[in-house]
Amino acid sequence: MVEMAMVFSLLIMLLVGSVTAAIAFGTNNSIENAAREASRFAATLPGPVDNTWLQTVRDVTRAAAQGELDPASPGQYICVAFINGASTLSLTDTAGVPAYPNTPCFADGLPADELRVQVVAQTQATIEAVLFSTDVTLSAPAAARYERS
Amino acid sequence: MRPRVGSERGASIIMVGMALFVLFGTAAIAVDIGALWLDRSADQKITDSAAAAGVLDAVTKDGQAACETALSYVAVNSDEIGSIDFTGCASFPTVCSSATHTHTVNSGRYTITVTYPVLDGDPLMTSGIVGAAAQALDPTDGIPCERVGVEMSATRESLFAQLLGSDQGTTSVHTVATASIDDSDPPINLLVLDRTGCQAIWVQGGGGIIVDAVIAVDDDGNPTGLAPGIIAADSDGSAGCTSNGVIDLDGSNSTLRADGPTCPEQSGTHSVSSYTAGEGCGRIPTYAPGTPGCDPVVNVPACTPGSGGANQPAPVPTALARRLTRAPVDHRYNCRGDYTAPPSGTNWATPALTGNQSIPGCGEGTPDHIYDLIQTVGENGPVGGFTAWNGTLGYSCDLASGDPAITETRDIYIDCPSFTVRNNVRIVGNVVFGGDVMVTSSGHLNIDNSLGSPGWVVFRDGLLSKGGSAHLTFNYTTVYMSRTSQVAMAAGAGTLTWVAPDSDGFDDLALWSDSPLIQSWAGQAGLTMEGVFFMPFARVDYSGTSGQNQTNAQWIAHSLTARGGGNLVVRPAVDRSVPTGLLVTTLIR
Repeated sequence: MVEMAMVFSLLIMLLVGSVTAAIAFGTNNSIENAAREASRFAATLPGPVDNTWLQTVRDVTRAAAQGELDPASPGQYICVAFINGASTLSLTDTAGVPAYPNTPCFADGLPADELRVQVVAQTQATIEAVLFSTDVTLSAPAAARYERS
Repeated sequence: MRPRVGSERGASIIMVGMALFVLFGTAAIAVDIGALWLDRSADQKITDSAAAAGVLDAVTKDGQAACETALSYVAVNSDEIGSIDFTGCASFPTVCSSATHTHTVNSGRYTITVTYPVLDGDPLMTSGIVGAAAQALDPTDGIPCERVGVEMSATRESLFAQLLGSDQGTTSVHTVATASIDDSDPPINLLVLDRTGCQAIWVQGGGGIIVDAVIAVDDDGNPTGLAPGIIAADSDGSAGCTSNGVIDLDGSNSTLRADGPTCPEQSGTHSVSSYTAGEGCGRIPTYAPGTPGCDPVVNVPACTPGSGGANQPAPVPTALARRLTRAPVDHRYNCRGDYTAPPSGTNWATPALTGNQSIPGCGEGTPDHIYDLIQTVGENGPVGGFTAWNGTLGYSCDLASGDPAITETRDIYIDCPSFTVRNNVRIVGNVVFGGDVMVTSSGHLNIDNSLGSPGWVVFRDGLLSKGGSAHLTFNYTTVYMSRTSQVAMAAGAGTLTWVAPDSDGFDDLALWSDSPLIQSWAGQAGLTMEGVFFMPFARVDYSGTSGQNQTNAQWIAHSLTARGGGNLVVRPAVDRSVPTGLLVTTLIR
């Protein structure tokens, strides 16, 4: 009975760990999906590209993430950037608070003069294993070539 | 003591063992198969993005650029692929043909293959769903030269399923994208194609270019309202356009204006306060850096305003996403895979550049009406089936004002080095001019194919000039002008009627000129222009008279100068123009 209890406690740790890791896995899938979905949406979203345009893409990112990027979610962060040669328009949204740093979301190595859209969706997930837990930051970058002018 | 029958010692190990087996089995399904699904989902989005990006280069550049761009977007969107070797892309053709090319790169656990062109029978044209039947071709699938395919295979080592004998799993996804002009977009009223030059659009001396709003139509051709009029300049301003921008206004009363549906920005933004609703509500995009705006300091090389900044285009220029190029016109009338450069000194040149030229997306099975016309007419001498004006019909090459009117219904070769018309000449049929053509005094040269089938006129060489009081008519007739031909219209009380055919291969094409010489157009008391006026190597010089001249034409030229006191109003009909709208990509498989 004792060894049963010991083994089962280990099994439960494994089970809880697996479940929370699977949830994190699912969250990662959701935000990756959201980032790529939003970048593809932005690629065909007509201009003029301005703050309203950036906000529209952010909203699409959030909506596509199935709740994972709600402002209340811990560690939530969205970045949308429209890169046109040397000039960049961008929006960052940290816990629902927008800012406009006008810098690329990430270095993508694409030609400088290529018109493109970057989207980064980021959030935090917790993996629990009964006796300990750890927070991981999940980040999903995506880039798409802009198709409208 | 005998052990009790039914002792439970050691039972837990059996139960745990069984539980572990079930747990690992479940985990194998949940984790390993889940991971494969995750791969598949993520990879599909990567190939979607890559194919969409690559196909834009396939139709605006060439196969190599398409391959490189597609692979670069695979690298950007994948967490695991850092960089990709593009060298294999060099094997892709600069001219699309019926031979398909593929380039495969391996990176980590990924294998990526780019395919261009994607032929109708290519396995990529089947559905991406495993086991699904081949998907029937659809008109929206485009032609093979307008399709790029990206396939991505991922191999993933099993975590739990190894215990069940499955070491790894593989997923494979693909995307085929096609790019086409968005027909629902309104045509660009005025497009200048100069790729690097300054003053690509140059308005000076009180001249004016105004493009009207375009009447938008739905798929059935029913009007749906007004769409913005568009003036577009393809130049990137790299020729040192700091003092004179790609769009350059001089003086205080020059006008460059695109009209559209009423817009909120219209009032108060523009320098000219007297604009009424809709004026200045169109678009003036340019590829040059410095947009949006037309400040002489901030917005160069895109735009330099007149009168120290006070005289600006309305609206101010904005940024073009990509080059527009002449390709839509070529695709419709002369879509050749490879244009061989002409021998030195010859007239025919399409285009008039050195070295072989290609238009992306053209190849086998695409129309080449202009090329056929040139082959039919030949470069000099009599034309088969045509009657010689001077040699056979006996008409003079220098017709006086008092000469009787002439009407001929046949195909005619004007075998005159210099052909002057001062009386009335009406020809029903196709015409080939061998030299200069001058319509002067109050003469009227009328090539009229309005009643029968559409006609064409070829200028092999020389000048087409019209005096201010003279009349010139090309009715339902396409005009082809060679590399050494030139238009020189004088402003005045005369009339110019130039209407493109409305059927057959040259449907909507009013003028195709391969000439790099300056083409001078001018305001007329009566001006009727309808169709596409295509002069990709020439600077168009429009000098107006007072008032405004309406043209239902679409102008596509190398560059444009407008001067004089009048305005050229450009207002193409949607159904009489070449769609020069934006390229849209469609993911078809």
